[in-house]
Amino acid sequence: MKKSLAVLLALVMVLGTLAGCSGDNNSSTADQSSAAQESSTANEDSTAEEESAAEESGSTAEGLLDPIENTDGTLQVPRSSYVTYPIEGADGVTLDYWLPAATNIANGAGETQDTAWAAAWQEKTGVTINFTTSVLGSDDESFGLMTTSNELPDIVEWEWTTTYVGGPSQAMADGMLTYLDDYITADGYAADLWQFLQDNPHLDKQVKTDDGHYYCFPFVRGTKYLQCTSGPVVRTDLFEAAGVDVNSLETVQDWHDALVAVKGVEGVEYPLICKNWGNLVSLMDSPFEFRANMYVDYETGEVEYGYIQEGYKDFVATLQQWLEEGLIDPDLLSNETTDQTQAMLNGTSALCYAAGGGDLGAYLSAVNADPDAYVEGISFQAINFAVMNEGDTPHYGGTSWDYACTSKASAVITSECEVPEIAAQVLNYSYSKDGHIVMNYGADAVVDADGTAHYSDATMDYAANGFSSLATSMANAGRANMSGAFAQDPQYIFEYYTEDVQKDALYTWNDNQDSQTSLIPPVTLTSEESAAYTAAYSNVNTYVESSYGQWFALASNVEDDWDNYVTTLESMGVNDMVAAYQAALDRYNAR
Amino acid sequence: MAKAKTKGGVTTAPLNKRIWKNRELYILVLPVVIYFILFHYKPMFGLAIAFESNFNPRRGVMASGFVGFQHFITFFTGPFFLSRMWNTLRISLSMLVFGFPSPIIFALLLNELRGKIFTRTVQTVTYMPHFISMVVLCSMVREFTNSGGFINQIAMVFGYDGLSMLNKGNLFLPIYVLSGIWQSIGWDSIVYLAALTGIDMQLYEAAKIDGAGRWKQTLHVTLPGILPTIITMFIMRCGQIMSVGYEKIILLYNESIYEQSDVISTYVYRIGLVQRQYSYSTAVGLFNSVINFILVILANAISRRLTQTSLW
Repeated sequence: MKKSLAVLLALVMVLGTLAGCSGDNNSSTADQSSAAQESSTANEDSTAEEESAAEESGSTAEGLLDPIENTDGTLQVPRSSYVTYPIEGADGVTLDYWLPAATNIANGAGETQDTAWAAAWQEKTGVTINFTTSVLGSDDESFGLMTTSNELPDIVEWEWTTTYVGGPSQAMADGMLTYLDDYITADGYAADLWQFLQDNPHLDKQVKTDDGHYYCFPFVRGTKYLQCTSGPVVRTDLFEAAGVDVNSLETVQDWHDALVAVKGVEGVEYPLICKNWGNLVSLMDSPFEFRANMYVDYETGEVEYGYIQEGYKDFVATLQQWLEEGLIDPDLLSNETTDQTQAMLNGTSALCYAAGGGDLGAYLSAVNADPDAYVEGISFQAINFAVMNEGDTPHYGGTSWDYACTSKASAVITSECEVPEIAAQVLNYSYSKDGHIVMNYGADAVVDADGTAHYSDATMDYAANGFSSLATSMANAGRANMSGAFAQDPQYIFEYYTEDVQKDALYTWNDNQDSQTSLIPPVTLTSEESAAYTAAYSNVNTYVESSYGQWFALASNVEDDWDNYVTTLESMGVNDMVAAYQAALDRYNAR
Repeated sequence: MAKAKTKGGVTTAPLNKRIWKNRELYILVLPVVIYFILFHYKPMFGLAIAFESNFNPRRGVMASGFVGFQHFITFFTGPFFLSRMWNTLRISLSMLVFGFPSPIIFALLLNELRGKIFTRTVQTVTYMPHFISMVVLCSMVREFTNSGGFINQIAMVFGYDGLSMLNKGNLFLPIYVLSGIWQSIGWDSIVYLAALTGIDMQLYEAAKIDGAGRWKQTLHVTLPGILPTIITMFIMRCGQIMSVGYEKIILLYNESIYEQSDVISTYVYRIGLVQRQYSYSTAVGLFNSVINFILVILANAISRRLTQTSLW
């Protein structure tokens, strides 16, 4: 009787959480400030109830939460507490944990080891974790060195579906990872991850190998507002001065005319700037219907290689025309982040591809901190991705899969881990009900009566705690504004994006596009496919890079070079690369 | 030094006695020997992976299948062999032609100066770039040559169009060579200055009496005096023709000048460390070293025939 009551209470609470998440994001963010004040004793009571429920259920199959009907792919956040923390028998255990360095940590707390969430994780699980990170900006090199060293760490965060030669099955054979099928079960050491995947069957499909093995603790980015956080940003005031209404910009032709107009405004040198080539492609690929490297054609569902499409030729031809007209920063290929920041703030450029947090947020806070240093009326806003014809929907803009397989952030347990069952429980923590909140928002997170969590006031008031920005303060408290082996909480971004301009940017970029289906899903290549892919990849990649470099420098005309370019790419085996991914995609679709 | 000393010692004594007699010298040379064994000879066993299908660090050196010279053939017949080879030769030969004589000329000029304080000041100032880290030096170069950078601004006075110089393929080589000379000219001239002090002053006096001016003295006394040093430095330099420093190129290049700046060592770096194709990149690196080796032997043989000066 007592037990069923406890389970019932827990269920009611979880449903409350879900109602908060699946509702319209516009309204729920508006409600957040008032809801935060309501978090009170009621919340503490229900947490206590939940804990007792968890204790009684333990990690046995009888105590499972009732299943949720979830067929439309909305994210259900972790809601179970099957595994008991601190972990039993973990005294004196030390785990070595390797992960790529995060910019937000490097800019703030310095080392992953020193962050508050790293400390909280160790305290809650009772296990000492020794974090080692890559050299910032040299992830691939650091990973390569780590794998060639004689001793592997116990846990490694990386991306396993594409750049690891042979994918997860080869990594298993190499001893880089062990399959987790024994742990991710209803009564296993990672039971909470199991429950999370049961609640989200669309994720369950994505995180397995083709033959149905679990291999990682996935980085989950499960709702659309988390998936496309970069897009076109303009200096509204400059376009207004040129007589252009930025909200009316729709087609590539509109963009062109607006850029020509804004170039006439005093101070504007090159209206369009990007940090690098990749961003320029992301900014402009949608109207030309291609993506960088491998992608899935929106209409046919077949794998294509972007840099060989007719659309790419038209894209380059357009760039060359715009470069000749002086509309694009000619130094773009050697730009760094600071070049774009300075150009946008000084008004030498008026349109760029920016991340809502790291870039747009930085521009806004720079202006807020010292308004006198900038032109009066300086203002920024996000605009829609461009399309080719009026009324089109962008199909090739940003965004990511729910299992964010291209982020170097999914954790595996290596074959050299002597206590895999303890490592599994440590990693499972992030997918448990409490762990989800602690790892996203920090151990001092504020939880409302309806279960919604927020950053604490101490985290939000970053300056008082010696942090230079909100991003670094949040990265110290929890992992939500970075990547890693946890499920990103859908609400965090509305606290991270403090300015309305940033929130509007999220809606602008995400609500008016449909581009997830043109991304390669988390397929897994076989060893043969992977070998065929990498054999061609290095040559193809070098050739593609030097070709667009030549075109961008206006050293030759893309129309003249195109036939020769395509023939060369084909002779380098670009079709083998496509075939490898097509086979993997077919297997994935058949799952 | 160690070698000369043991030769000059009691050659008839047994080896162990000779070692004991010169123990300080042996201890002095020991770290160098260990360094070469650990970092230059031991890794040679790893060359085996150049002949395997693809080396996998988790499974060990001998675990992958043997494929013979397949990786070499792939590289030689591949689309980038000729252009990367040409870039390597072009860049390093330019460094040899312009970079090698410049410290010699600089040392000769310094030698002609009589004001002690001025000479020392010039020397100190020219040493300085040598101590700047490559990363800092390259970001300075990038900053100077960017649109708006001060070298760029000066060039604009002479009609340059003002775009970033490192985006122009034909400017990469001059930037690379000139910045290389700027960084090393002071430091590299030390060895020649040392050689200059060893020239007997009586030779100069004799030349003066015979009516030789400054220019003739330099040509007939100074240059022959430091010729052995120059030859030795030249042979060692020849061994580096194929090993263009990849750090500097990686720090300076971008996609638009790959065609003019990508060399074999940067290619190896990208393929091996970034894309983790260890076997293929080892094969390419081995090819590079073999060419280097041949060049040193050739340079040595030529020098022995022409000047009777050689390394061995």
